[in-house]
Amino acid sequence: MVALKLRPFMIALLLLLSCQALFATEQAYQEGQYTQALEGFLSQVGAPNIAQGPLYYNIGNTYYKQEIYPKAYWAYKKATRDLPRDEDLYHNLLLTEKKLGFNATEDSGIVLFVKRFPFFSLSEFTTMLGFSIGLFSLFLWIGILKRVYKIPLILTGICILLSGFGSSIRYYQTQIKKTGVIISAKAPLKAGPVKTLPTLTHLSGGTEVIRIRQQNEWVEIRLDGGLVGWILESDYWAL
Amino acid sequence: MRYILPFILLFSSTLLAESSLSFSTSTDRTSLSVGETLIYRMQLKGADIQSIPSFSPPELGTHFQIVGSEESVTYQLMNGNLNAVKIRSLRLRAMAEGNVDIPPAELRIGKEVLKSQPIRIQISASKTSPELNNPTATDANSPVLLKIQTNKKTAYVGEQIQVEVLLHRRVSFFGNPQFEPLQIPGSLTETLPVDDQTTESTLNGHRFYTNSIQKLIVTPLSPGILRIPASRLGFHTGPFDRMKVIESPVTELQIKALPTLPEGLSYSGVVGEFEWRIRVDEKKVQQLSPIVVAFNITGKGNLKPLTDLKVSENQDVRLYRSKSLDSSSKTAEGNVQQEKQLEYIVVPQIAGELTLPTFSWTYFSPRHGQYITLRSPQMTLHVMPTSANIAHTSTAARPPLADTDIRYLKPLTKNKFEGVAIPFLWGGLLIAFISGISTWLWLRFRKKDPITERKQKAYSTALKALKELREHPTEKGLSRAQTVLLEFLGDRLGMSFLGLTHPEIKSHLTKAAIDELLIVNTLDVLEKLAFALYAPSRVDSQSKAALIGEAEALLSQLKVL
Repeated sequence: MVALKLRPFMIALLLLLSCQALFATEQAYQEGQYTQALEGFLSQVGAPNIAQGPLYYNIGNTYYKQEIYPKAYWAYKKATRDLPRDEDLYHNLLLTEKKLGFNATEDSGIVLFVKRFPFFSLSEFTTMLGFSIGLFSLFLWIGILKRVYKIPLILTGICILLSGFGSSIRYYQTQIKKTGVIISAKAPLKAGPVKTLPTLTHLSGGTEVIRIRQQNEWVEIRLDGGLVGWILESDYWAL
Repeated sequence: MRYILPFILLFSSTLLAESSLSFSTSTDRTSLSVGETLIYRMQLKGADIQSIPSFSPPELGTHFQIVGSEESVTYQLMNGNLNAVKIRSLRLRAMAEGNVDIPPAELRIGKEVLKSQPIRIQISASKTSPELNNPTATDANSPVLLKIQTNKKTAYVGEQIQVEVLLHRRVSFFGNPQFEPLQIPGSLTETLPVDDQTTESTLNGHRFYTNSIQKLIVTPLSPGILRIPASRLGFHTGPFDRMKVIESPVTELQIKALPTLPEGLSYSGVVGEFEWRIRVDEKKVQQLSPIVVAFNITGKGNLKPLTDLKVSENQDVRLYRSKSLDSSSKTAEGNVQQEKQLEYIVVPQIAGELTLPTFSWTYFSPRHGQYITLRSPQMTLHVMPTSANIAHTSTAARPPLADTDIRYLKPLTKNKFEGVAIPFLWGGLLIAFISGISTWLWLRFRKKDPITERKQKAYSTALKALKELREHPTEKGLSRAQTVLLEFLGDRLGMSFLGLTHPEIKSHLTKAAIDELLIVNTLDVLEKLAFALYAPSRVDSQSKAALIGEAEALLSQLKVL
């Protein structure tokens, strides 16, 4: 009973502490203490009251300031999941790509639209899904009563199609196509999960790869061109 | 008046703050035995206490002896007003039994005198066992010896002397021994924790087990001979033995007076050997924002008399003492090291290069035999203008949004859109659930009355049938149209019109209070249909369609039934 009564105060206290920690972290970033700032940001990963998209964006910024560009690239890429149309994020990502030596150019026009619009963030997806289900049920109910089916069903169908399209792209990107990023400056791609096996090539930091499977400390990956090989788990961070 | 009122309020609040001083005294207990100590606390609350001199205790008489003193000030900055609590705690030892009134303490601030309430204390007789008052004669060959050990034989007034009562024994005790703790009049004493470990020592050719049973730090208050009286210990060596009491020999120490204080020196009253460290919290110094200047003084000697440092005049800062903390620790060599932390809050009043005031204090060093003054070095800080003045520069200080640099950090609080996303989903699911359930309930449990249902559907069914008949007029169609009309009437009026004669139909329609003209029209259409049905050769298909059209028109008139 007392615990229940104290619960709001505890939550308020935790929020207060969390706010103070965030403030200290941001201050550390401002003062150029990036190691401390990074620790602060990483400690907030998965926190329920923290927006994860901006958090990964900030982590990316801190890595960038520390000149660890592959990890910055990973963090920015991770942030795109929740901030699919954020201008600052794409700006920083472009700069990181340039630092990594990618032949990166700023997207515009239809390319920009195609690349960014269909990808829904989780919040956008859940909102649309909620709207769709709610509208569908309302229209169905109205339709039964008034014997008018066509227009509401068309509207609902459009909503469902949109949310389904966005969410399926998201699902594909995150769940089916298990992508990751090479976080070491230079990671050897081995022919098999043994150190002594021949090195096929060296992957530069920030290279996006598709994960196939894992065996002990080795991860089997596929490159865009279809080349398959093994890298050490420590050279790879999943997106 | 509107413009003057805020000033009046401002001044009145300042005056109130000045006059809102409260002074009180308290003790941690109201009854104790002779030899025990209590804490007498004097507390002053209010604004700007820094300017008030340190308060002194009331006349305590012969019943109490001051054995320790401590002073602390706490500041609180609330709504721009500085409030402070100044506390002076005295540790008093009860010297004689009886009911004693500690008189009210007085504090004079300008013309005002603040007075506390008197406190009644009950002092009972010492809890020491009377048996301990009859010591047994002991000699050097006794199996149990009590000795007093001091770390120096001569000392200056105010210099700390470590006194230890050691118990040497060659026999085992039966039960717990009774010990009368040492009390040294004419000095300030502080009890130190004793080591539990037993050591071995040789005295007069005999081996003894030795334990430290009392350890004191004694600070002599006056020059001359400091007499450490005997301490007593009573013990049993067997279950049937009477208590044996032994006592330590009386020890005398020579206490020297401090040399004459050189002119112009402000002596803190501290005797010993010390060093200090200064820490300035200067990460971000801003005009009108407080910074902390902390001093950590360590060494051998009683630091409690040092309540404040001497601070040089400096108009560029406002200075408040925030913390005073005393502690003692044991060094690796077994000596006691005293430590004092003093903190000052410095509020820079100007921006730019600021020289902090100089802090100093003087103590007497027995090793050097002279007064030594420790003075802080010149400390210069760069003070940034107040936030109001740098509002425009703060944005400029942020990383520029140039194309060559990354954009700045993002706030991590969830935006409104994200906040509503999940409730929308749940809201949608809830609406879906309620809609689904209500739809199912409505379909499952609605009243299925065939008469009402037929009545509701009668018009649309009849109209549909007549439309079909008009589009494909046949002879059978005329008969069917007649039937449709009669069925419609039957459904609407809740009876069968099929097989009735025209007068009977008229009679029923009249009973149903239908307009007479409508009845005539109905009978007329029925008549025409019957005529066409019985004389088919005289009616072409166009006329049949026209007839059915008339029936349709009639139906629309009868819709109101």
